[in-house]
Amino acid sequence: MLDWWLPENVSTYGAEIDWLFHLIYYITGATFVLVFVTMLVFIVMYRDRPGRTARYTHGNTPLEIAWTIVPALILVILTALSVPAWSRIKMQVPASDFDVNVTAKQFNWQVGYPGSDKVFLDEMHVPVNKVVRVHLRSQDVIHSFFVPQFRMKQDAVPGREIVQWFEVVKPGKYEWPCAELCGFGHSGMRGWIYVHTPEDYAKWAAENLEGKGKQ
Amino acid sequence: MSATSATAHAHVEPAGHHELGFVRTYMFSTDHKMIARQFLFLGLSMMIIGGLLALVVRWELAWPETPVPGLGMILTETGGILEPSQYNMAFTMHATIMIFFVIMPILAGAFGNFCIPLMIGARDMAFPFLNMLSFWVAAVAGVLMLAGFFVPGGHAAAGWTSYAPLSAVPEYTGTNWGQNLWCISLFVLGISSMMGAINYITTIINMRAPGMKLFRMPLVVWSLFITAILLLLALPVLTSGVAMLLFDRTLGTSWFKPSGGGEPLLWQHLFWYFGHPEVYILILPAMGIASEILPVFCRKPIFGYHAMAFSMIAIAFLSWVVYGHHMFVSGMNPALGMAFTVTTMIIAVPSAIKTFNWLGTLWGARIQFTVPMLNALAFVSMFVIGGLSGIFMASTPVDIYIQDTYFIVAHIHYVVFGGSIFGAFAAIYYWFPKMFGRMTNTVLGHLHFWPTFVFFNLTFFPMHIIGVGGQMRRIYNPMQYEFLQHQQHWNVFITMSALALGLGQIPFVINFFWSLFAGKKAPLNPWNANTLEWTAASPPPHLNWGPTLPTVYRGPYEYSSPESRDDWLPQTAPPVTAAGARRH
Amino acid sequence: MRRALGVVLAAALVAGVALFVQRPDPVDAQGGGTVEVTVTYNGAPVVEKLKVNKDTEKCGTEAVIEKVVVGGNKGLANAVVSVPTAKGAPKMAKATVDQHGCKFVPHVTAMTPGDLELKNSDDILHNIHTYSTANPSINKAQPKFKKVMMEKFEKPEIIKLTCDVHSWMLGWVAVLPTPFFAVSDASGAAKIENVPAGKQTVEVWHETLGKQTKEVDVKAGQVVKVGFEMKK
Repeated sequence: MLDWWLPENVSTYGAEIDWLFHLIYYITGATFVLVFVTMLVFIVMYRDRPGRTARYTHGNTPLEIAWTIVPALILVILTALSVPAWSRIKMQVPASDFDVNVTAKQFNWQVGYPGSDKVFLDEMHVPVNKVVRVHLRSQDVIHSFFVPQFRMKQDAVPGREIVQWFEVVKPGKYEWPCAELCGFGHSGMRGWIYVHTPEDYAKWAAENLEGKGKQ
Repeated sequence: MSATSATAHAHVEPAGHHELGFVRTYMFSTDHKMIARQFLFLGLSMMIIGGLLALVVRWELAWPETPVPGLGMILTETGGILEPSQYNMAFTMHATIMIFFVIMPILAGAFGNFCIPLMIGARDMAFPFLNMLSFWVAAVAGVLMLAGFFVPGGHAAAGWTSYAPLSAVPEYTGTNWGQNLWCISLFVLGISSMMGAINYITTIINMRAPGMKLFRMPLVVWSLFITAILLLLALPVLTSGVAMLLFDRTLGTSWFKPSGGGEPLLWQHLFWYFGHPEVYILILPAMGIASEILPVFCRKPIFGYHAMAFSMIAIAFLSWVVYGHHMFVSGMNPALGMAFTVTTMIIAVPSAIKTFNWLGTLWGARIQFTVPMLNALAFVSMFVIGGLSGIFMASTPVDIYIQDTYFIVAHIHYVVFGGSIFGAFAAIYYWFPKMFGRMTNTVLGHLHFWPTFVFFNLTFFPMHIIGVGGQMRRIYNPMQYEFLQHQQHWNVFITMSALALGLGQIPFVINFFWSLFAGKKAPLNPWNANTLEWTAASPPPHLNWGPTLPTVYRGPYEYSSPESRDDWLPQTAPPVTAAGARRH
Repeated sequence: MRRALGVVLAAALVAGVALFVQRPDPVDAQGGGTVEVTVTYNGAPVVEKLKVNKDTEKCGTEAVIEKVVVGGNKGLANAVVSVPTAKGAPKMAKATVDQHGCKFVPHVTAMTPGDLELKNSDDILHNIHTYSTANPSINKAQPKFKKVMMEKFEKPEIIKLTCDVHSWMLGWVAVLPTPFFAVSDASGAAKIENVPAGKQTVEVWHETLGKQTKEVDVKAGQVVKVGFEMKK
């Protein structure tokens, strides 16, 4: 049920993240039910009543070993599944010819494209089905590049450039908030990422990327 | 062994020693029990402030940019509407106060001080004067922290995590002395924690009564022992970090400012290297308290005593190597993310072990639903939820989405409120008779527990939902975002539950004060519990016991033992002899 | 005895009258001259346009940032003209800057040290973020329900005014050591009245074109015209 609330995913690696989310959701959900039902049953069954004696025992070593190994195994499996996905998303930036420069500031996203001097505020235009490499910087404090529908988040740290990527499979207009407290204007710091079909993108680029200075 | 050192160590004064005046009895007492009460009052008073700040935050989220009831008199320029910087200050100070001035003083300060000597059979802490200092230094830190509300520019507003450079450059927040006082206050508080930690560790190692072997110590003492080790090793890192931050702000250094060659991520590494052990500092005593209370009201031993002790040691040990999970998307090398996800998944195992052992304790028991027991059961169940939600964040890819959303806020509150605060309530109801010599009122106890439990869940469970929906942390108006507008009704629901939760604390306040003065006088051992503190008077006198210290013959959880006619067998009861009256 | 007292009283009376007569004239409407300044610029106007994605109901979809405004006859607007050598009582009129339509109105405000009234007549969150060295810099949010904020600027200085929420917003506050100032209008004209007579220095400052000074001789009751041609 929790997953009803996930915004629609439109990115390639977003699908991997959602798969892992659901897996963990089912495992933790099952554990939750198991533990709570057990607890409720015990609370009812073993409540104090006249004539009851409690069972005098200090524990059970085989049980102890079992309930150490089983959770450990489950967690090891979750780790093994998470690590490759993480590597694909955060460590391996696929080759691409589409780069965007994003410099965060209090309280806007400043977007620029290689080869053009124009600075766009709070909007980014990219083509669909293409790996977009984002060169992320900040000119003042730490901000965080968050696009819920791409399942993408990366902090922008002043003093360094971080390269991240995404690839979107569905054209549309996607909300792009800042996800790291950056001052009193943090709430409301938000841009839009427009994902175009190749034809629409070409049209936009022709109209907007030529020339110098702020558009 | 410890016997001679214990008696020689404590400053045993002749019977009928001189009466100390008011100041040395109540204000600057070196008696661990009085210091415990002082910490308790400090923590409970600060909880009111921290709680009110939370309600201010919640009001804003549900009804953004509307006047907050009661604030019209303070925020005169805007008629009670919170400005964005004041909102940032509210959540920053809510968290700072709750973590540093509520949970730590109550669990580590009050119950550490109260329980350790009494439960190991010592007359006082190893260093009573240092103990007294540790409270007063904490009180000074509290005054410094509160002072920040009254300075121009307002209080710290960079989050309790105070990430640089937002916190390192006054111009970025417009806050000046508030953030400086935040740094100074935490610096001072760190000194208090280190003093307390030294005392607790030394006392536990050196001053146990005859027969009180380490593995006969009650689990709450184990938890406080391990907590003290974490305090000792973690606080210096925070203390250094806030000093560096203060210097960046006031002396022109650039530890964390890129403009001067500094590194913002250094702050995060320092902070979380402290911060993660800190959260185990917050939860371990509560785990100990639950492990203490459950056997008493199940009338059977704790299931898996050794596993419980070793799992706490494992948690403490692992807590140093998981801190990077707060920084998965921070910009640190993603390879580190791989390492930290492994360790973070592993640290779930000892917590799982503890949960199963608590369930094992309930199995086959004779459960008595006293008010302390209800709170302890709430602790176990709510901690399970908090722990399970942590697994989502342990997985790095999932954390990409979850980080900095309300899912994290839900997790945090299930572990610190559902865990630590219910643990604190359980401890207060359980040890109140011994601490104050009076029983609390059971009806008021129920009137406090049930609304708290219900409204706690109604407040914090929906935060999982809005977090999955993508609501970020630390924003004040979700309606500014199109993708969040559809779930705003949850914010309203959460706020209304939070208000009810706040109201639900009123029976506790009434109960506490009424019982202090007019509660039924407490017997020596109202719960028929085995541990040493129940052999001292209620409340224990100075030096806790008469001329002879107790001698310990067995572990602390021998309930329903075949060696006893009763369903309990104190640690101090002499052992069964063949000709003894006890049946075997 | 009576005669001595009479002499003393008479002397006091004379001294009092003499003092009264000798009292320095208050600096007021009487006695000053008028300085009429024309500021020109031979270059092209500098106007930047930016597409706006935030608060578009108030800010519109396009922001226009005018850094160099040239009107008819090459007149340069928004230049601060002042007579720093002329001393006088501070102006009584209150200085005001409004954030309106996501612009600082006026773009350049001149004032004597004292209070500046900052208004927010847009119904959205704005921010006053000043950059200055002599005066402490200010970084405060001005939410929509805080329609007026007062800030103090005590030291003469040119202060840059920005809004971090709408980063294209730019304004200037010139805190001047003299009450004799004006800001040039669209045609580049600025008139300063009642300037004390004598040799004075007239200074012109523009946000991108810099500063220039000229010596003038102000004659009481007369108009002295000064032209400044600003260069890049």
